[in-house]
Amino acid sequence: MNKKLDLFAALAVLTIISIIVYVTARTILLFFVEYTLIESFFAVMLLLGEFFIILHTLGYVVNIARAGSGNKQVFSSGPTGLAEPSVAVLVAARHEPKEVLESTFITLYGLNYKNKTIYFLDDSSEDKYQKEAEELSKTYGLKLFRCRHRHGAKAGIINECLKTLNDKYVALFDADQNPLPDFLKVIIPLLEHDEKLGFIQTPQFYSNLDKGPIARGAAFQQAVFYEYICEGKSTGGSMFCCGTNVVFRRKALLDAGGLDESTVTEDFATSVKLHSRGWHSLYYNHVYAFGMGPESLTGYFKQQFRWALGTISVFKKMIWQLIRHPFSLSPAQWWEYFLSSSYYLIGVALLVMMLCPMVYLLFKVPSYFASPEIYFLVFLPYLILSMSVFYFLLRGRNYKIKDLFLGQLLGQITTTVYMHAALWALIGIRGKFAITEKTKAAAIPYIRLWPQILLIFFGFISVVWGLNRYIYEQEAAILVNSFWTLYNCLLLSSIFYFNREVK
Amino acid sequence: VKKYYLFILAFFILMQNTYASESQSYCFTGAFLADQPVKKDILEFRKDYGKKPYLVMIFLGWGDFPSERTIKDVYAEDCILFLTWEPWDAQRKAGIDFNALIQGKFDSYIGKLAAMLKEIDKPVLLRFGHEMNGDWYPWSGAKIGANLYIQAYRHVKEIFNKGKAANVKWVFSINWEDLPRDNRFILYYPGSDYVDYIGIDGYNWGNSKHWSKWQSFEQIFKARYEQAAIIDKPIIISEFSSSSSGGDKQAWIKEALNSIKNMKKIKAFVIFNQDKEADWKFSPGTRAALELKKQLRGNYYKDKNTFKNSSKAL
Repeated sequence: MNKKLDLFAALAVLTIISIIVYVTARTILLFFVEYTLIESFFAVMLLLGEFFIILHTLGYVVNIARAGSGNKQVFSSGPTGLAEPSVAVLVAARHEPKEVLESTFITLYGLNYKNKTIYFLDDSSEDKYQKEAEELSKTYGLKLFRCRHRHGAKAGIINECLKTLNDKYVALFDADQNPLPDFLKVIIPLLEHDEKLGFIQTPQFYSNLDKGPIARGAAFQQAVFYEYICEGKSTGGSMFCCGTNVVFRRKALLDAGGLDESTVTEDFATSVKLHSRGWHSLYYNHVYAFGMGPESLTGYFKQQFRWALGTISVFKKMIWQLIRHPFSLSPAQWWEYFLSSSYYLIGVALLVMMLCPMVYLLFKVPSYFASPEIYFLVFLPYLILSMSVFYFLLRGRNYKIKDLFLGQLLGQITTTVYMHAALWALIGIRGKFAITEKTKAAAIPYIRLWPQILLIFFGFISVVWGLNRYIYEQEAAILVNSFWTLYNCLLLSSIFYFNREVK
Repeated sequence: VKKYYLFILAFFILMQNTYASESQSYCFTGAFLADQPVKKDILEFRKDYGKKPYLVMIFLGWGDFPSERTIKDVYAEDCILFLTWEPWDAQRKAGIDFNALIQGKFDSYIGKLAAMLKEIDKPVLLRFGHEMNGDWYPWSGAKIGANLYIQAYRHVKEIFNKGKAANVKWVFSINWEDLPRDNRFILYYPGSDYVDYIGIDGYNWGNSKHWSKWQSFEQIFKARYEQAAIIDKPIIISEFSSSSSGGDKQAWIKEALNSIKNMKKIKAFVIFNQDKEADWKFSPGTRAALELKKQLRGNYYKDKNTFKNSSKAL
């Protein structure tokens, strides 16, 4: 056990050193080499892109270090067997299929906790769904809640319902989440134990990981996020709420003025508010609910687009808040929130990193190192070390490299979707409240995948062009750039594998 | 520069080894031998495959009790009983009245069985209402609904609690596949207070049926294992075997017992070693049977409980 921790510490330190060396070398070189205006533009863009990724790697390593490489944390919950405080369980839904809702209410009904009331917040406007909601409420003894005036989508109806509640705690579930019977029994004592705890978040687990490569890839992306990132953030006191599988202290939620209705990721914005008002949060890293991930590329892209759009909108707000109220959060919390809210800008960073080698091959615009020796000496250690931190530690929690890679591939082909979301968020276009699409979908027509296909197309052209150049110029940098372009092209080509009809 | 990379390489290899040698893993053997297994059956299994079945499975209809002789023989051989308790009239295959059950109509029978198992005073595994996430049994969710199932399960377990039959360990035993697709096993999970182990059943039918095809152990169990492993309970492969039609049964069992070693939460398996719907038995002397024997060698598969803590079943 100790030996393992030592190894991890050594690896983490080495990674951080390699990051520092790399950034320094890159920045110095930028100033020493004489570039034209266009060249400088690309060089600066690339440096920014890399800097972004490095910051996130750093944040990631720090989170892993905090989470510890050993076993999951266990919290003492104080004496159990006391009277159960009352809990309102809220499920908001709009036009969800009846089978999905039925499973959810079966499991909520089966929660091994007596003092609970289950509320069905029906946001449907169509007759058919409203009727189904009434039937379900009768069967499972649910309290049906509807809003006369719709506002703020999901957050809106939850806020309206909050006004009518007296329960000490409020549990939120998405319409497709199936909690295990022990959920409240485990979580409520933890909240009872600490008065300053505003909410406890538990992980999401996509149980349909056997339903094709998208579902599997998405499941393992989730796993990476929940296994380490969340646990690390929680120890740093900046775990945010993910909107489902979460229990709030009602007092805290009221103190924050309810859920934030101004973004599509109301959960994230609300956590910022709670933390800036001095409430704590806890991430309890044990799965207590089974959910369903997207199974088709359409569904996956829609989900990612919505998350990216909402989160980047919060990023804009956070910068504004940092300028106006710099002391509303602690520096550590600012750092974590900066990382969380900027994460989806990764689309921009990855796109720059894909374009730069291509521009070099086609137009001789250098943005990478001119000298390959420095490149190998500086970049490679950084790359290898950060990748190994990622893979080895997740393997330590019994994840297979093959599965993690699938998740990464999926992320790569979503680059242009993130880019799209970033543009919308910066311009200020707000998204609609759309249900995360799950099953049954046709493959996306290739015409709509034009960004990815164009990237692949130009990638291959630049590799061929680059190899021709190499024959005459004998420049090692051409090979390095060709390699990266080819690598990116191959990763992107996986879109043909992922994009298929789901039956 | 070369030295530097060698150093990094050495580092990775070291990391690899630390993980490989992590913990002492093991898996207990088990089998369904006969309807009323006795000493002879256990010893015959050992003769044919090299190890005893530590778990000896029997099936019990509603209203029935296990035979005294079976109990005596199983524990005399240092094995333990794994009871599959089916809430139906075993002859007529008709399900019991589950509403009556939760109202307490069968409490005295349940209490009697609890008392009988408690008297054994050694670990007993019990699975009540297995494969509920299918549609073939009268207690399956497709027939009675998940709510009633959970209430029935909890009711039965609570009577065992009252009878202080703490030596009885509860196995929540599901089918490898949800049928129909929406009939997901998680809807039936009664909660951690009611479950000690999660059981998974699955068979390779080969091409013995018009609807079946040859499937490896991993194809059958891997995804289900990944899902079940999320719940904080050890796992038992509570029924498995392969037909020999449509493929190589020898290769199948080899792959199966190697896959189990990679699924560390599996703490026991039960081979269904009797021909029933298909030729499940590993007939002695066949290549498949010899392979089974070969794979069971070594320390990973245990046929004896050597834990100091005797209340620990597996």
